[in-house]
Amino acid sequence: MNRPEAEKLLGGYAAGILTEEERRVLFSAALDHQEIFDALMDEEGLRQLLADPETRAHLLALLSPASSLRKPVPIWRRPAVLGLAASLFAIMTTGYMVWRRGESGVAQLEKTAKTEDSKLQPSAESDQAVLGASKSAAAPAEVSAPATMARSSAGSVSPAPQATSTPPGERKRSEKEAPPAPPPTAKGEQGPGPSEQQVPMARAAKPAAAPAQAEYSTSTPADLSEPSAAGAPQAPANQARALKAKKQAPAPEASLSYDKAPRFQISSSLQRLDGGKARLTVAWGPAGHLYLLKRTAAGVAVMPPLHSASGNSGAVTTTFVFTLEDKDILDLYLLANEEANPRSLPASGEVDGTWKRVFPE
Amino acid sequence: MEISSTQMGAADLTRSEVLARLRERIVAFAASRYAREGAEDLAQEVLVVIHEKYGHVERLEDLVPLSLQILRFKLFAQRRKSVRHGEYTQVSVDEYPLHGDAPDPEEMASRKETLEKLTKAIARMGQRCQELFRHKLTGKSFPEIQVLMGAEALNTIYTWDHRCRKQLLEWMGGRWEP
Repeated sequence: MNRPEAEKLLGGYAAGILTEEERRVLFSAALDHQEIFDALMDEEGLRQLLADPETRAHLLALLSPASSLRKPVPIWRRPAVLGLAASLFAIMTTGYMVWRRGESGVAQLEKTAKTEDSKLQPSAESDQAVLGASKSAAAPAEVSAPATMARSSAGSVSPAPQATSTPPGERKRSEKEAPPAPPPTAKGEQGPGPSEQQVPMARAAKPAAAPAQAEYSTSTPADLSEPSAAGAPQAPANQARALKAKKQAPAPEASLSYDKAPRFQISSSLQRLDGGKARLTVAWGPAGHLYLLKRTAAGVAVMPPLHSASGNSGAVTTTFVFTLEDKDILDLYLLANEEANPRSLPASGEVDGTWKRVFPE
Repeated sequence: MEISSTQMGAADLTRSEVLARLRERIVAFAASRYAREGAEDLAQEVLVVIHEKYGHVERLEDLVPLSLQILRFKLFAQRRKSVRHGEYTQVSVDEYPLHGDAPDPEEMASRKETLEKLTKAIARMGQRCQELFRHKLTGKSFPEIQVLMGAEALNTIYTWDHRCRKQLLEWMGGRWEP
């Protein structure tokens, strides 16, 4: 018997299943060939292992038809298929979420822009109603409320919370932490007065709205007359409007509505007093920085406010008392941002907000 | 596989001739795997055991597996002896436990490791190899396995078993024992 044929019997030796004849053949070959003898010696370890009944039972259980080893693994339970399916699922889910996010973002911007457009179409009557409401609210507020306005060093006046007991530090903190204010109500309606939260919220919305104002300055000169009481959500709305304006030419009605939309309301009444003095009462708001300049032959002077009061309607009433001559010129400015050097404000043209000549009328 | 009497050259040998050939094989094996200087002594020890304890065993098919088994025991004993003597690792005599009747921990660990490797390798085998191995474990002979597996010739079973065993050995790292 040659060596390859004898080697085929090696598998039977370890399992102990060789017949007498096969054993004789294998062992004869082992005596004749050193390689087979060595292979038999190597098989001796496996033979001893398989001779152990416990080991044999363990392996038999492993190889039994009921064992999981015997069952062919279904194609959907194979690791490669599972991994591929998981990867596909992750890719599809991520792609769908990214697609939905982009789509919903654009839709939300367009929706916000539409809402803003519908809101920013006030009638002339509503503008007058707002102004009238400001005037009517000014008188009682002047009497009842103390000077609760935050006065800057340059003489500007900006709305402040009514709660005078709040320290300035806490007030600043509350302004930072304040959530965005809800969008403004209809123009004809008189919203609630500037509570402790609403006024800071309006101020906090200014930086967000600033880029949008720059976008509209080219097409709508009086864009700053739109309401400013909208909160932080106004920024995406303005972005959406800007996108929309870029995509399609703005309708004339839209331009008109922006022009008419009052961002800063201001009305004033000048009263001559004895001794060459005059008292100017300004109802303005609901946001902005108020400046009164007196232009004389000697130069430009910023008039400091005597006192200010916030009314329930959201309007602020500020009173100035000063000397006034017939040659003097009084200009009233309500600016969106605080002006570092109010004396440099122009006597004509456009400003970042609105202005009016109070005297001479 | 055709087995004829002419192929069985060593089958007709006498006991002394078988032992002489066995000695030759044992020396060559031990010399190739272990120290050459100890190979002669190892073969001598195996033959002494066969002569003293198994003098009644005459047949070749009994003498060869017997010698293989004794040789394996002797190799294990020699390894233990070398460890005990500190040939490779110095062990304190006081700390080294005396040899008891309980199974050798090293051998137990080796067997456990072999079984784990064998289990993993069997799990990787194909369906036919697993079935063949299962029949072998149940004690079926190759002719019986031929019938059970529906093979036309016995040589087919031999070939299948040879290939399966070769693959199994390869998956176990080329050796049955660690």
